[in-house]
Order: sequence, then C-alpha cells, then structure tokens
Amino acid sequence: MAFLEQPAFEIGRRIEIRGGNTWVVVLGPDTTNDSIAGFIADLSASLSRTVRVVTGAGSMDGLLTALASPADDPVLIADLDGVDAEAWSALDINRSGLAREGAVILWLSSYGLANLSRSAPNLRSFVGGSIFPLSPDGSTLTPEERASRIAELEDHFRMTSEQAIAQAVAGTQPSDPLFVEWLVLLDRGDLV
Amino acid sequence: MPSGAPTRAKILDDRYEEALASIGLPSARDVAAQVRTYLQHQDAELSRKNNALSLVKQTVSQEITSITLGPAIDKEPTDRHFYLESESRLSFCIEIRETQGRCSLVAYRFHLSLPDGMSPSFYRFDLNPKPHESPLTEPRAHYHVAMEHIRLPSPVLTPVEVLDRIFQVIEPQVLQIRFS
Repeated sequence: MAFLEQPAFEIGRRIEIRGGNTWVVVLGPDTTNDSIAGFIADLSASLSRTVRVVTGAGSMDGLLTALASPADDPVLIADLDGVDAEAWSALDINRSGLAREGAVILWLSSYGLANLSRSAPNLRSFVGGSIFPLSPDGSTLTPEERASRIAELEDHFRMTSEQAIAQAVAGTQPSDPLFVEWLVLLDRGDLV
Repeated sequence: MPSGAPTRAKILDDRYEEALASIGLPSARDVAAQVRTYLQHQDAELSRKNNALSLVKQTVSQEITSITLGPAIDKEPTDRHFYLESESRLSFCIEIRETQGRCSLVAYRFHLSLPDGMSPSFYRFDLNPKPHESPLTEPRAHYHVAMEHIRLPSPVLTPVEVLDRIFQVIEPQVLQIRFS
C-alpha cells in the first residue's frame, strides 16, 4: 500500500484535527539523529508544543510511566524499529496502559511498520490510516544553488570570494547581513 | 543645529547589545522550524500557494547557521520569493550563532517588495552583525522605507516578530489600498 508523503507541518495539522489519543506512524527517511531532530523541531513548531522523546524499547514499566507523566503532551518513540516480535506483542497486550490524551508518534521504517502490523494488531488499529512517509527535507542548498548565490553576492559587493575572505580575516568587512551569509556559503563561519 | 546627535545615536547602538543578549532563542534548527511553520500557516490562507517548505534553506558553517528565502538581493520577481496575497514578495536571510549551548542572533535582512505601482516600493528590516562607525546614519537595527540610504532605528526583533510586522501590519494595509 502506498502512503502519501507529508511534511512535518502537515502531520502536525492532522494530529491537531484528530485530537486526543492519536497514534501516528511516521516513516522516516532514515534513523539518523539529525533527521529525527529536524522532524521534532518542525513538528514542535507546528503543534506549538515541544514534542518529547520517549524510550520505547527495553522497560515496559518505563514506557508506561513516561507516557503517563505527563499524559497530554505529544511524544515521539523512535527506538522501536529494531525490536522483536515479542516486544511488539508485549506492547500490544499492554495497549490499554498506552492510552493517553496526547499524541503518540512512532518513528519507524517500512520494516518496523511490517513488524508492528504483524505482531501488534491492536496497536496497528490505533494507528489506522495515520501512516505518513516524511517528505524529503528540501532545506539544503544544492551545489548549483550555492554557487549561484555566491555569484550573486560577488556581483553585489563587487569583489571576489577570495577578497571577501581576505577582508574578513583583516576585520575590515562591511557590517552587512549579506556578508555574513556569504562567509557561511564559503564555509568560513569562523570569520563571522 | 542641535549638537549631541552622534552621541545619542552611539548610546542607542550600545543598547542593542543589551537587547540582543536578552533575546532567548531556542536552537537554530528550532528558529528555522518556527519560520518555516509561520510561512506554511500564512500560505494556507493564500489563494496563490507558495511551497514554503522548499523555499526556506539552511546552511551551516562552524557556529553560524544561515536561514534564507529568496534571492540574496531582490531585483525582480523570482520563483524563489514568497508571495503574499497582495502580490508583495518576501525574501530574507537570518544569521544565527550557536555556541556552548547558547543560541543568539547575529544578523538579519527581511526585504518586502510591494507590487508594481505601489508606494512605497519596499520595506526592509535589517540587523547588522556589528555596529557601524556612524550609528546616526546606520543604526545597528534599522528599517528602510523605499530608500536605500535612509535607515531608521528599530528595536531588535526576533525573526518571527519581523514576520508579524510584515504579515499582520504591512500586508493588511497594502491589501486594503490595493483592492479598495
């Protein structure tokens, strides 16, 4: 089954529409801390509430306690992707204890989602159709965009990037927000 | 001519340092998320949609994060601008420093070009990265109204506070004038 990619903002909007006790699966592009942190920042901004990261693997008591205190904030569980069928079954059996007012977001791969569907059918029904592959993050400049922007700044300041760096090293650069951006584009944030 | 203007301007500029130190920002990533979300909320209300998610870019070098939208210098309409309902177009850069767990504003530049034929033709909100040698003519935090060389002092605002002025103060007036 194909799911429609959504940005964190849209996932947040849908969580708000669904209201309390919402369970959502986000199919992350990977499980690096960087992409999870970016998603948490975007979702927190969208919900105007800090999304709390909760550990799901390991102690069931620990998870139940974390979900209950407090019970009304949005939480993200990002460490269930690799748990075995037994752990999913344990979660499924304890599902009544997992009910809470705030949203629960599971960060999984398609492999993790398959395990959830197979071993925790009741949890899977909590999730229903709320399965969202996260849109790729388009916030990074491509090399072409970076080069084009640098050329734009060279034209604006009527100097080359080498001259800009020389000025920054000498401390004689103009006090201009665009000059700061230029140094960042040249990966010379140390000169700001 | 009354004397003391340069001294008063210098005192005002010094106050910007205190103001900057008092602004508590979350991480650069959170600031970018706030800005992106703000624009997405605005976009949801517009008849002409922007793709705010892909328009906002982030570049990191050492301790500095640059958050940008649109061209560095506004010369003409582009598909990189964010267009408001009035057809005004927005571009910006925000520079943030993260060091030892602290996040602070270094500089920003928000440029709002109004539609052709409107007066004034643009507004710009600037925060310079350091004080100018002549703070009377170039206060560290200032705004322009259609004149590149007239810089009037403004408070130091957070990025979202600048967006509030653009979307909730300037834009409603532009819309009213344009479509009245």
